[in-house]
Amino acid sequence: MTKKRLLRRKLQHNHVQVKPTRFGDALLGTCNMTPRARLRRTSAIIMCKSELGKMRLSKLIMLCLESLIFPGSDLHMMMSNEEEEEDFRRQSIIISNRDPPKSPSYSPESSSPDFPLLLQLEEDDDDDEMATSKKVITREEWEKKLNAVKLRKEDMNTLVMNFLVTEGFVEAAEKFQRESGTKPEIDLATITDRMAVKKAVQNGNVEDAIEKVNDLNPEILDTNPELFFHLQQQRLIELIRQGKTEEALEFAQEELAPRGEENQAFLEELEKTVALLVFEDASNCPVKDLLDISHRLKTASEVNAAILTSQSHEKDPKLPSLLKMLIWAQNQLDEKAVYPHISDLSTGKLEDPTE
Amino acid sequence: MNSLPSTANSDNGRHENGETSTGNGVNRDLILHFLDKVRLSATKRGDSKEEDEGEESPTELNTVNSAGGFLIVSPDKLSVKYTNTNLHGHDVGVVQANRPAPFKCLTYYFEIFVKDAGTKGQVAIGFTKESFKMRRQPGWEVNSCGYHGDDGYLYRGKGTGEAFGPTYTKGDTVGGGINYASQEFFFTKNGALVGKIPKDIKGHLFPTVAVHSQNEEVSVNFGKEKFAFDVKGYEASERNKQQMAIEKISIPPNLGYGLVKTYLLHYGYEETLNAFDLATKTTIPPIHIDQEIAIDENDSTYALHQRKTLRQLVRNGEIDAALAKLRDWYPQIVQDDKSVVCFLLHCQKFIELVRVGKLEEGVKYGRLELAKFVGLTGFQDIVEDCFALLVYEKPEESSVGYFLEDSQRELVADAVNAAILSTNPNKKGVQRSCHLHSHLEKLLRQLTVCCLERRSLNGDQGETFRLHHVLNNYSTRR
Repeated sequence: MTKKRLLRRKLQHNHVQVKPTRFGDALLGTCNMTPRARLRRTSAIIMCKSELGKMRLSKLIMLCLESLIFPGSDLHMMMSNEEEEEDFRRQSIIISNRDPPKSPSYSPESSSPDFPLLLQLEEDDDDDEMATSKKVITREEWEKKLNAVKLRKEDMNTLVMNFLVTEGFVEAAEKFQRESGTKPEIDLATITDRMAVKKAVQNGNVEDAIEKVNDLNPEILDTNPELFFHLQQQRLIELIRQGKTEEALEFAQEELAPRGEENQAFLEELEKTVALLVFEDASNCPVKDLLDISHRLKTASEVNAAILTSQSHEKDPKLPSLLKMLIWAQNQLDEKAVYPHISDLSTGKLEDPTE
Repeated sequence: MNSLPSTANSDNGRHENGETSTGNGVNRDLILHFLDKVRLSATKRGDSKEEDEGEESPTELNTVNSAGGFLIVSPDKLSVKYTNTNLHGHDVGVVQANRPAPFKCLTYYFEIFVKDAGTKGQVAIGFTKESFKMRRQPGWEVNSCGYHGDDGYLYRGKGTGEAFGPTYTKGDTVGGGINYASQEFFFTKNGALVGKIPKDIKGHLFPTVAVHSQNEEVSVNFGKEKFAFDVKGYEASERNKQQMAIEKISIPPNLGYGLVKTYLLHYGYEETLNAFDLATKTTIPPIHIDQEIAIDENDSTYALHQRKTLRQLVRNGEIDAALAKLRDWYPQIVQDDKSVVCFLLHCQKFIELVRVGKLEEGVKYGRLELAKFVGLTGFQDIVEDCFALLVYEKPEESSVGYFLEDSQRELVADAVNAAILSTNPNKKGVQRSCHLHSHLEKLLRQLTVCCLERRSLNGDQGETFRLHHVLNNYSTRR
């Protein structure tokens, strides 16, 4: 931060100092002055900027600089309305409240030539941006940007509907359609069918599930040998769970073994599953995971995804991806800027920027 | 930092009557927020062609600003031939495209085909700034970069190059591209990627070709012909790479459920909420939302049923009934007849009358309730647009047809919802945006600003993030 010190020294050398309390008046007063007097004020203002790091004011500073270039123009006119001016006055009051006056003397009558200094300052500003230092965005600026985002309610509704549909909350999706007028992207009736299949697998009724999938669309299993194998494997697991050893063996030989011959990976899976029969106490064997409820859920979500794909619908809702994208986008921006984060997505709290 | 000093007005108000003060404070925000939303719907139609699409791509070679005397550009301005005899390093025949590469997209790409390698085969392809010296090879000077055919080296800003890829000569197709997402240049030969290097040049870049020995001849393809390199495939794989990186990030598993729940609570979709709650409890395994997300039941269920009822009334177009309920339940919201909520409700009533063809009644109502808003800053334009509905025989097909769409009812319902939320006595000290933005919306806003900010720090290069496009699966707009 030697640059800042350099700036300050230059300014002190020119005896241009301003109390932060006078900031707003100084700036607003600028417009009624001769260009030369304005110049002096403006450099004072620029000092304020470097002192306080108020990026937000840069627009106003630009206006002041403009008023220097176009002597006829008027700052009042450039501020498009009273509200803006009021807002600006309030800003300067906030600044004065927050920062106690740093220097006691306010000397607008300073007579040293300021123009070269002004140009110098501008160049320094450019240098700052070129340097590798990160851009600092204050909370105020950031919130302004946040509020300026044009976000459509319909889009958020669509996002929520997409979540309800993909996750299979058919009643909620129906109600949401009625309450918000959002159209679901697929026929809600298909959700009911899909959830029935999913539920059947979750409850261990694999045979039933296979039938339902085929009723829905026979191509799903025809074009998805891996899914079909996993369903059959789940069926075998259920038979073993029920202690129907003989039936299980028969099923494995007739239905699963031929598939294992076609595909090495299937064969290994099959061997692993049949191993369940070998152990007296299946709950304590190396392949006990197969008997776990989580395996059913895994198979169930595999079927669910396949049905969604067959309906040319994405198998995952968009919302979680967008949340991941938020984390990613924040990480990416971290490389270039310091700004208010939302680190904890579950509270959504905006944190103050920390360097 | 976050607590703006309250104005003297609302301070006084708080002492006298707590509810009005919050109402006033929020009203100011509501003015901005919901009236802006009305204006946003007005621009909806033009949405698909926002500023980005105005970018024009290079189509031909620039015959004005080229190394005249050393080369001849063909009449179709798509091929170039070196006609001189080269003697030194300052008589290169360089020619740029007629326009800089567009940059509000994921990639830019163009190709050259070497028709004749001439006596030395000193062909080059690259990118240069507009001010580039047209008698030097791209890459030899600062702010330029070039892939040279005679040595296969890559030059960037210096007279000495670095080993990069194979050489190329007569009969080869060579491509140059910019990947704005990764900020890299990439080059291809005969349809295969040769390599990429970081792009350290800022500002507009012109596709550039150079020839530098007698009879060298090169034709340029700015996309009119099919490229040898599969640009679409490259873009897709680049997108995929980014998507993979994003998908790898882990988030709390049930966060999505929690956000949906707070969203439903915030907007008062009570029936959906009940169905959703029931469903999440009966799934296998049940989803425990409350552990994942901070839901303050007291606050978020505030006036849920009233909000739901009013939303239904507004959505059904029963504005009189909604106003009556509001007078009954929340007189403080409607006591100021010139408040935003009243304005929007009156507008909506007028719109509903137009919808059912009761134009005369509409005019009467407008005179009674809307005329007083004419001349008020912030309202005037919307009132005028509303009245414009009367002009058209088929208002729904007119430029103000958006008023008759379902989304307008939803918007008014949202405004009423926000006004009711602002009366919550528990939320006095809380930031105003709480009433306006649901949890989900805050996150989406943060996401949008992060993406926009990052893009603006990259000199506005690359694609913009638009939630609308993500939701509708628009991937590329080129």
